Amino acid sequence: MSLSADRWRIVKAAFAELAELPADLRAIRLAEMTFNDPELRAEVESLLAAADEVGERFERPPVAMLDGALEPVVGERIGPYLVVRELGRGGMGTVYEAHRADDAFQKRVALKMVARGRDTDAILRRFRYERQILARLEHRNIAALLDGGVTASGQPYFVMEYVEGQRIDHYCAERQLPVAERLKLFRQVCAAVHYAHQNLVVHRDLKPSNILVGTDGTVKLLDFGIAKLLDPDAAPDEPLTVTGVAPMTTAYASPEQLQGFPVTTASDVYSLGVILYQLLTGRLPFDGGDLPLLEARRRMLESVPVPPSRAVTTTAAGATDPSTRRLQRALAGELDNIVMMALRKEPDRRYTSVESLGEDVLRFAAGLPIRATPDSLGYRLGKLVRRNRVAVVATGVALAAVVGGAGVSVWQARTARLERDRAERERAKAEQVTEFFRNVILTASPTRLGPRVTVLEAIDAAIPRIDSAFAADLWMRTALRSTIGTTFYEIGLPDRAGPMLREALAMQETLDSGRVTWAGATAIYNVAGVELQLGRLATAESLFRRSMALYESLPDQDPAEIAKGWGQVALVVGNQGRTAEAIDLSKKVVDLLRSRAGPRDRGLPVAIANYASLLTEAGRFAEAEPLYREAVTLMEASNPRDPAVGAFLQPLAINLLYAGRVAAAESAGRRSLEITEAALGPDNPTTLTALRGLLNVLVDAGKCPEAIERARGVIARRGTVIPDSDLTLGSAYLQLGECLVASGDPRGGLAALREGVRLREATLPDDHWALAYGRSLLGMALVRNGLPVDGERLLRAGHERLVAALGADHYRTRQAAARLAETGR
Amino acid sequence: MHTSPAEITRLLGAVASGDPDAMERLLPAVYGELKVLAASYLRRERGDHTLSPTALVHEAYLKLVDQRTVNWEGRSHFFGIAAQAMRRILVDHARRRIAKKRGRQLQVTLDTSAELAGAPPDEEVTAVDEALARLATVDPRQARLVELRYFAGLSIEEAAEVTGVSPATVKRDWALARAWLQRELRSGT
Repeated sequence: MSLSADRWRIVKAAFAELAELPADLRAIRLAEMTFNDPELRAEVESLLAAADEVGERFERPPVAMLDGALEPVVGERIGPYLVVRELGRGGMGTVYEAHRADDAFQKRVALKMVARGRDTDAILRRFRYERQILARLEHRNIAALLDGGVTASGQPYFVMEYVEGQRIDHYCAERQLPVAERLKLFRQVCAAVHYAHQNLVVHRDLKPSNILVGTDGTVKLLDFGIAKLLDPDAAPDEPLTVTGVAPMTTAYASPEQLQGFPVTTASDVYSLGVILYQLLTGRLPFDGGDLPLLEARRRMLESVPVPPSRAVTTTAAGATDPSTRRLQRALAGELDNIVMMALRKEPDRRYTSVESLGEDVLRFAAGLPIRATPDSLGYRLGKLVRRNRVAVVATGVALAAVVGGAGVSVWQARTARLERDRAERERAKAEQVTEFFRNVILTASPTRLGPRVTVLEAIDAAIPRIDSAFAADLWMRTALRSTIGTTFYEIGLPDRAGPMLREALAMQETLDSGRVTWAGATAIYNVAGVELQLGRLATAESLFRRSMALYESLPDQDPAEIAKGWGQVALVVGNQGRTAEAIDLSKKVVDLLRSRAGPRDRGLPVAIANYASLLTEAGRFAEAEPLYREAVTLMEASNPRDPAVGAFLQPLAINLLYAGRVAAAESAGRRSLEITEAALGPDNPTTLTALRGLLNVLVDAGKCPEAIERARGVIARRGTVIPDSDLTLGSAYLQLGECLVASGDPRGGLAALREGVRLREATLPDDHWALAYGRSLLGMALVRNGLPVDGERLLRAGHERLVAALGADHYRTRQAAARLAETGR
Repeated sequence: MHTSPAEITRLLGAVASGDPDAMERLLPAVYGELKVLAASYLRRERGDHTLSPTALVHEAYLKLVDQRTVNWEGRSHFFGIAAQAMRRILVDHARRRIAKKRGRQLQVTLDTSAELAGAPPDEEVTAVDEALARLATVDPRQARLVELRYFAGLSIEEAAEVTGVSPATVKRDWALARAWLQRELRSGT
């Protein structure tokens, strides 16, 4: 085949045109195209002929040819076991029935060969580490792990109790069990998983094929803890409760598993939700079907499944009730709510434990009111609005004023005086905005927006109408998006803010058409803020830097305002662990503000306090302390009761504690709490942060009775005003646990510490020192509860992490070292 | 050797900005991962899934690339590289099997189960590989498309995304590529 690239282009064009034509026209057109080029004609003709005969050839990738060559193992001996037959193949390997070759009674076991291609050494290392924990899982609904080892050819295997039974979903379908019976089986599953969670074991690969039902109706869960053993990323010394693992089975994996985030007991709650969904409806909440994996995954992360009652159709497999409609009625309402609560995307909005999921199922069965609530938009927004103290107002003009008045972003407010005419224009526009929102609310259907409307509900109603209301005014459309976006951002809804602000940015670029403008820089700055909230720190940093470069290139900018923007960059840098760089940048910001900021400018004390907290982070306590004090003094000069004073005193208290000055720390901690509580109320996040500081100090100051009381006060507010993600909640459990153990209640202490660690695992990255600190405390409690092996393991792991993160000399590390020494080894 | 997702993602960025060394380092990492994944598919560990190269490639992508930081360009590069790696794996495998078959010359082979199951004969795979090398000299984009469709099993839409042209264009090019392969393989064997 000798063909030049030019020639090929001509052939290609001719073929493309001719292939579309019907045969009769094709011949005519071909003759026209090639009337003085017989060579081209032959070439194209032969290709057209080949196209006619090719059929489906080449459409199927040849990868199937790799198939084949499976190794037969039946009849072989593996370690001391004789393989009898293959039972099945699952996510991690092949399972065989076997019995001990040297056992006269020939007790049957299930032998699981781990698939090739995995890191054998790591698996065995983890196995040795975990076997004690796994072997201690004794529960009637859990198949016991008996043994494990490695074959002569180096393949790892596990030996488990042999379970005779049928997959739970097949069992239900085949027997056409009514809903009540299915729920009974499901409760057995919950009981087993809950028991394992209490023993710090997360299953991580719950799915119907791991849940068997015996002929007597007893449920047995297989493979507890095995997923962890096979996780290539898991360190051997981590408890089974943590670490991300690529899910073995996508359909049952929680969103956090799919994204590679830490796996916790909440992930098992999610998987159980999928299983319950499947048991009730005969289908999966997300059926990836033939979708590419990425697409299926995207759907599972982004869309909310159809509630079970609406997923039931006449074709649902195993739907047994005589009529589908009756099944639908049985599921609608409470069962829908139970399943959907377990399936929520955010781990902290699911059931707080498998136990509470099981309980709700039981309550439903007993006809009692359930705890799950429907996940309506109003509910969700209501909760957020309460937490963020955004006004909830009666329908009417007041709302429009609130939203209209928010028409200037933070940056806009700060620099408004530099752009007087711009501010004028905004005032005129603000009236239009007010009118717009007023119309939106008045014309909205009363069923959608009740007599009491939250700001967010009003905004939601407004969004689809922006473009038509201001069709001729691009500036207005941009400004509204920017306003709504920053509002979302400020009340902590970055997912909603992001698209709005990115649209605003794109529209602003159109408005600016290549010029550098203040609004353009601000649009980038706003998107950066969203990225920061979403935790995409690197992106946030580069956007912040881009917008700062633009601000700096504009004339007439206030250097103090520019410095504050750089202060934001310093925080992002610090959050990415580049503490030294952040300290440098932060110091420059402080220096600049010292010379340029006005006497009443809050920006200076804020910058100083941020700088100081970076120094604390770096362990430079002596340098940090005077800076905190300066920030406090500056802030007090304008208002001694300003909550910012309290906010600065909190890191000062911690700084003093770490420097070993417990008494001074206690007094700073008490003042911090007193000021924030008076200014912001007891439930405000800043107040809670202050309380967290004080709790830390109280324990080390030997004031356990007070610490216990305050910690219980926090825990009592859990769920109502304090979400599980609040760090203070985890702290409260940890400090409560530490104090209970110290005051002679090791059992109570252990329970509290377990919960504290679990909460931290759900909110902090796995290598965070505060998590290691919690694990070290938990280790001590385990030792005191007569579990020295596990306890020491945690004590040791916690200490090692603290050494790595904070250094051997750090206050927290030395405490952990002391605890470790105390256990006697 | 294990290359971290962060490193893979960084390399993808480097490839996007035209760094040829990055490509040299990426290909072995992707190749290694695909082989491990293919091996695990072969043992039919994936339950209900049928063995499909596109699933392998997607799975390798999920495992190897840090989703949070890679952009669409990086994603396209990854699929391009993964397709090359699949091609290498499949062609190597076919060559080995052909060599084995030659080794037992006159013996009647019962080794046709895979072919009955729909896999093309090993000779087709190597012939496509050789034809593709020729096509690449006149029309690299078209050759790349064959790699994506035939060896990596990407859909028309996915291939369009990776090559940055419209699905309609991909469809046209693919029809011609198949016709061309049909003719080349007919004359070649």
